[in-house]
Formats: sequence, C-alpha cells, structure tokens
Amino acid sequence: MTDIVQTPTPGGVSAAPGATTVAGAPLAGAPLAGAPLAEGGEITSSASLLRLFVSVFAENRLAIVGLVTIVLMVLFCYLGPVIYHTTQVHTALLTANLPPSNAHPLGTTSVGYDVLGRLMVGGQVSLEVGLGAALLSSLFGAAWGAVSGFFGRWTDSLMMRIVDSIYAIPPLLLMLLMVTIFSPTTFMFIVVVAIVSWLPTARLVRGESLSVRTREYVEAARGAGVTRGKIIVRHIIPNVMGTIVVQTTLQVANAILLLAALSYLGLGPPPPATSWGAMLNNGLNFIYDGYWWLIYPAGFAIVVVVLAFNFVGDALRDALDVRLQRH
Amino acid sequence: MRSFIRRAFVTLAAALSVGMAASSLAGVSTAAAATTGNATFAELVGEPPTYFFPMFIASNWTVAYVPWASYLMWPPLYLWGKNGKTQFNPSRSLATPPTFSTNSAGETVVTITLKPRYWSDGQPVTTRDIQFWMNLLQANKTTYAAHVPGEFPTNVKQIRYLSPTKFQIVFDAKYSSLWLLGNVLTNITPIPQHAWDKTSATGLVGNYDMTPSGAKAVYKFLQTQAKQATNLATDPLWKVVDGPWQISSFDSTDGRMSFVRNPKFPSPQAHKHSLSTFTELPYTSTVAELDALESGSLDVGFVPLTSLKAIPALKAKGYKIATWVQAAYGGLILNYAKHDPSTPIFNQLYFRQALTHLIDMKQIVAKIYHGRASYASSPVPNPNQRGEYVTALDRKDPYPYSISAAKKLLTAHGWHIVPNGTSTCTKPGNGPSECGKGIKKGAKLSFKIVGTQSNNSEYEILQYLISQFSTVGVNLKTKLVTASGLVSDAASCAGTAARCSYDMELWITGQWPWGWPTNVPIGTENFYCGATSNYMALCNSRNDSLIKATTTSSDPVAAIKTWENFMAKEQFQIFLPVPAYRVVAYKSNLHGVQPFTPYLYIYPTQWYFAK
Repeated sequence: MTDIVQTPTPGGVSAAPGATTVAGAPLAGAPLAGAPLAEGGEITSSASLLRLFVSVFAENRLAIVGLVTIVLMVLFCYLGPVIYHTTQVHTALLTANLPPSNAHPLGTTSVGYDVLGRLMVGGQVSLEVGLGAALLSSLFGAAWGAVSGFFGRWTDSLMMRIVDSIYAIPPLLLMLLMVTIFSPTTFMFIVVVAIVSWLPTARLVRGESLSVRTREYVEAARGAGVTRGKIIVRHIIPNVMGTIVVQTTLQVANAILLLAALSYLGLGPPPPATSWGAMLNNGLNFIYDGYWWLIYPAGFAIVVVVLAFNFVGDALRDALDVRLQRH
Repeated sequence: MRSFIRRAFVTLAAALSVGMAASSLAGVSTAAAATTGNATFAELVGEPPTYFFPMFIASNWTVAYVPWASYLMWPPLYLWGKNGKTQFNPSRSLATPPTFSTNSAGETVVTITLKPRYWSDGQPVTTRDIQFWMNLLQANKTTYAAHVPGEFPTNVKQIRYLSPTKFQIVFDAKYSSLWLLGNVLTNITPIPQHAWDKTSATGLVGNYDMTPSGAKAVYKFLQTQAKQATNLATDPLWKVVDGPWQISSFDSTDGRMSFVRNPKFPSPQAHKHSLSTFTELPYTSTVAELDALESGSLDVGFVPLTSLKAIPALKAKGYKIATWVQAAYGGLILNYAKHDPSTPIFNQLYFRQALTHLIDMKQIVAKIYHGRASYASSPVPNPNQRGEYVTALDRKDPYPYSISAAKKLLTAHGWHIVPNGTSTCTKPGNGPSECGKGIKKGAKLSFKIVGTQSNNSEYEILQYLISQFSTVGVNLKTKLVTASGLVSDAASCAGTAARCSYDMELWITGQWPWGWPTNVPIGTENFYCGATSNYMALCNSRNDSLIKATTTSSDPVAAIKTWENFMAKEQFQIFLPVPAYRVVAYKSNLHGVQPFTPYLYIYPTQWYFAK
C-alpha cells in the first residue's frame, strides 16, 4: 500500500495527477506549501515552486534586511566573544559604571562587567530561548491543532476548550509561577516560554486542518486504508506547513520578548548569566543617573532582533500565501 | 450576699478607674478638631501590604507594614525609638513605664499601668483587651512570627489583672529588665475584646477567649478575616482601633490605602494644621516612584541608591532630602537544616571564615551603597546607632578581605581548590588538616543560593558574591525570586527544619530589622534554636546559652557584648554591610517628618503642612 500525497502549489492547484507522488518522497516544494487552496489553477513543478518562493521572498527588501540582521546578530553573539574577550563572571567594582571608552566601547555595568561583552553573552541566551521556545511551541502547537482539526467532533471541542482555558490564564502569571517552581536553566526558560506560546499555533493549524481534512487526497488516503496517524503526519501537517513556518518565525520574536519581560520582572536567567531583558531591567535603575549605555544597547538589540524576525516572518507569509502574492 | 457585695465593689472600682482615666484624658485635646489636609507616603516598591492583623504570623507579615499600617491602628504597649535614637519612648507608649520587682521565689514581677485610651467606638482600653491578646497568643503561640520556644509567652507564669488599667506579669524566673522592656513587653498589643471576641462574622461577641479551644476558634476566625485583603477597609472588625489612624480605603489590587484620624486618639502634640487623612501609595518600580516625586504627586517618597543624581532636581522641586538609618542586620544566610548535604560544610568554622575573607566590605560600602551603609560583622550592625553595645571586635572586621587567606584556610583543611570551578574535598576526616565531620571525599563546594533582583543593591551584591566565591572554587547556583519569595522561602526553612530547598539565601535589606518586637539586639527570635524566625535552622548550644544569658543577666549590656563577639567570630551567618534604610525625599512644606526612627515607625499625626 502506498500513501498518496497531494502537493498543493502556490498557484492554488490541487488534485493534479502530475503533482502526485509516493509518500515518503515528498517533492521539494511540499514543505513550502501554503494554506489549502481553491480548486483549479496552473500546475507548477516543485523546482519552479522553490524559485517562485525565493523570488517572492527576495523581492521583499525588509525581509532581506531582517535575514542579514539575524545572521549578523548570531555571529555577534557566538563569534563575538571569541574575538572580543571579556570576563562575564568576575565583577570589578572599581571600574563600575564607566562610560564608553577605548577600553570598554559600550561602557561597564554597575558591577564592572563590560557591556559589549555582556551584550554578546546575553544575546546567546535570548536567541537560544527565542529559537528553542519557538520551535518547541510550534511543534507542539502544530501537533495539537492538527489532531484537533483532523478528528473534529468532541475531540476537537475538548482540545480547543483546553486551549481556551489556558488562554484565559495571563501568560505572564503562568510564567512567573513556573519560573518560581522550577530551577532556572536555559532549557527551563525554553519550556516555560513554549508552554505559553503554543496556543496560537494550535488554533491556526486546527483551522487549516479542518479544511485540509475534507480534501480529496485525504479522502483518498482514508479510502485506501491509511491510518489516521499517518494521514495527520503525511497529509495534514505537510499541507499546513506554510502556516507553521510563518508562525514559528513570528514566535521567535515573541519568545525573545517574553524572556525580556520575565527578566524585566527580575526572574530571568540568574547571575552571572544574563539576557538582554535582564540588562535592560538593570539599566533602567540608573535612568536618572544618565547611564545611557546600560539601557540603549540592550534595548536596541531587542528591538532590532524582534523586528528582524518579524520582517522575515511577514515575508515568509507573503511567499507562502497565494492570496498575498502578486504573481 | 457577700459575693454580691464583692462583685459590686469590683465593678465600682472598675468604673472609678475608667472614670478617672476618662477625666485625665479630658485635659488632652483630641486631634479631630484641628486637622486638615492629606499627605501621601510611598509603600515598598513591588510589595503592597496585604495583612495588618496585630498578631503577626510568620508567613504573612512584612517588616515595614508593622509600623506603617498595624501600629497606626493598633500600637503595642511599649514603643522604642526616640529623637532618631534607639531608645525607649515612654511618651508614645500606651502604658506608663513598667515597674520591675522580684518576688520571694526569685521571679521577676512586672507591673504595668495603662494610660487612658479609648477605642474608636468609644469603649475604654482596659486590661481585658490585654487579657484577650494574651489568651489568643497563649493558645496559638507556635504560629506567632516572634515565637521562641521556652520564651514569651511560655515563660509567663501568671498574669494578674488587678484593675481595668493595671496588670501584673509574673515570669518563671529572674529576667533582665532591659530584655523585658525592649523585646518582650513590646509584643503585647491591646486588641478590642468587646468587638473581636467572636468566632464568626455574624456571631455575637462573648468571652470565647477564656478557654484554649475558644481562643483557638476566635484566632482562626480573626486570621481568616485578616487574610481577606478585599475586606480590609470594609470589615467592621478593623474599624475598631485605639491607634491614631483608622483605615478608610484599601485597594486590594495594588495596595493603595488611606487612613482617617481616630477622633478618640489623644494627640497632645498635634499641630493646629496636622493631617486629617493619610494615604500610602503603591509603586511597581523605583523609577515609577521617582517619577511621582519628580511630578510632585508624592509627599514622602524614596530615592533609590541608583538614582542619587536625581537629588538636585528633587531639591529644586521643593523636596528635602534625608537619610533614614535603620537598626538592622542582614547578610548571607547559611542553612543548617539537619539533613541537608551542605550542612556538614557550613558547620566548619574555617569554611565560614574563608567565605568572610572573600568579602571586601569597604568596597561594597563605597561602590554599591555609595557610602550610605555601615560595616557589620555581627547582628549589632551600626556603630552610630548602637554605640552602647558595639565591641572593639565588631568595630574592626574580624576576617579582613584576603583571597589568599581564604585559599589558605581551605587548602589547609584538605580541599583541592579549583578557581572558577568547583573545589572538592580530598582529605575527609575530623583531623585538623582534614575537611571535617560528615564531609565525604569528593564533596563539592557547590551551593544553591536564593536571591532577588527586586532590589538593585542586593542583585549587585549577589553578582559580587558569585564572582568572589568563584576565586576559590565555591560555585553558587542562583535562583532568583521576588522579594516576597525570599520571605516565604526563608520561612519554609526556619525553626528546626530538617531539609531545605536551598543552601544559602541572600537577604540584606530587611532580614530582620531590630524594632518589632526586638528593640534590643538580643538574638532570641532569629538565632535561638527552634525560633520561628530562625531562618538558618541554626541550633548551636553555645550560642543558645549566650543568648539565654542576655535575657537573664543582671548586666545585660555585658552579656550582649559577649554574644556579639561570639557571633562575630563564628559568622554563622555571613554578615554584610547594612545600607541606610532609605534616602527620603519629602516636601519641604511638610513638617514633622523628621527625625526618622531607626525602627521604621512613622508618626503622621505630627506631620503638618505649613509654609
């Protein structure tokens, strides 16, 4: 028994014999497929799908800026400490709160840490939590939404009411509770942020799944005796992948902001570790002393990275969603 | 017939006493006739009040709200803090100074006479209100935040209520009068028996407190009501006060609270323009509070140490600046819970000495507190405030800053030092060059520490300690909690806890201010084995006997100094510099705010606006 996989195209084609392939060997364009599309339309090969996607994405200049920014920030955070050596464990009270100088291009903190070096270390935590939480929340949210949407009926009702219930709890409150209970590690922050971030993905994927499950290829798979689990994994999820990818990108920005909020409340990564949010929180204490270097660099880093991920997310949505394409 | 005559006589005597009290009060002007205006005062940042009941339980009370809320409504019998000094204040106390005597059995007898005072509903404050408080305490003493096993109220042998205004306490032994006046009698707080002695909101008032089971029921009811923050300003129970202020509104969502004058409270010192209302405002951050000061919407607020550069601008806006010095101590709490793996290490004096050597107190005072702090090597922290108790040893740092000295101590006791890593024990055993009793080979100097980022100075010290300790391979794994989380974590490990979720806790600005109810630095509440607020779960027999001596000695000051020297040498807790309580900014046209008491009391009854 072979599974039949439908490869929708950005052009809005479905159920085209030429685009049908054997399960387990999806076409190159499959993971990039967008939302379930209207019946009929032009048939496009997978290679041209990718070209189309890249071309639409590349046309968005903000997306390119965002992508370059993300790459630069990753290099700054991970390669930076190799080139620019500072100690981020040992305090130096005698050199506390120094303004920018040759020795400390972005000045020093209230306990003498070099701000530039701290920005790199803090960025590692922020990016790791952002990416990790986004991936984890998308993975879980997608699975939850796909199962809910595919099964429908009482399963859907139950699963969505659970989502609604968790939605009713203020995310910050939930995070504060969990951070208080569990030991603070980067992995814990990833899990905590993911726990409050998977809900939108679940809802979106569930909505898409409700539509995809009525498609002919899903009906065909059912008729061919394919198990429900396999249908979800091989037909439903690949066909809502566009939504998942876009949502994941946007979740990175959201997760970085959530970590910043936690850090701002004094419950971020414990010292000597830090995050951009924690740096910002600490810097705000000195706002009346005019120590701008404790505030602007961390604030700038958060804004730039969040914007960059949002630009990329928007562009991905444009590239993957037929309704927003100009082609 | 004879019993009738006796009852009639007692009743008549009581009526006469109350009448005399009332007549003596008649000469004192009440404040209501001449009050005007409202002053605003900043609450603790991020720590709104939630609980005022004047029999504080360990898990609910917040140090500052004892004087800033409870005492405004229900002051204790005796108050300390006079003219900004740590002295007994007889004029602000509800009773005249006690008289001490010794009975034929060698036991201390204290006789106390109440000053004429009235509850806000017009009833006189009598010894029945004292009896009510004592009965509730006796029946529920283990939950009381200041409870110490074997001490007050366990050491009370008998109380004789001689008249509506006079009572006598017979203690079970001879005790120092300094300790009794400073730390024991300050607990006693009259509460309105005629309004609170009931077991349900709709029930009638009775004499339920006269039996232990009844006292438990009343206490349970009152504590339940007291924890309902939404009703604090509306519950008729809390409207009956004998202090100068009565709560008029309370916002349970943010902690904003307002008070109006209790017209029955005598204010002989009241200025003709003294306040008619008093409001405490909550702020979620020091920046928000500073903004309020900048905008002039706050009459009395605090300038954080991180924003001292804002002072000239505040002065230009008409604020006066003053430093509020607190009699307090704090530092790095080590946990001695019996079954914790870190306890055998903390039990070693050389290890505690090594930790102390790693701390440069001068640098902390200069760089973190900007000079607004004092050194401390014992629980008697402030030479300026505590001159009468400070010893020569306490004036100098017994273990001065020296990383090499710390390394030497650890190496000499069998530890393999791994700077920036985790040092391990290589020579287990009890010998002089070995790690010490209970420490196994390979044991690591790695500890879980709880701290907070709520207070910037504490956060800076936390980072400093992590850095300094790492130089000798003492690895600290940090958990950040909120300020209230520090209290609840500490409470869970207090007394005789066998296990604790952390090894160390950094608690500097408010671990235990001397003031409530301990005005004299005698360590019964915090360092005595089994005390409810002994947050280290410390049980050391020598320490206990020295503390005991401070409570019984005929020369209590000498006994305090002996204990103080012992604490400075032992460093059961790593004592750290104590910062000034707050840098205060208050409107220059608001008079009577100064002097600040080192016990954090505020007296808004004597505040008034004038040009």
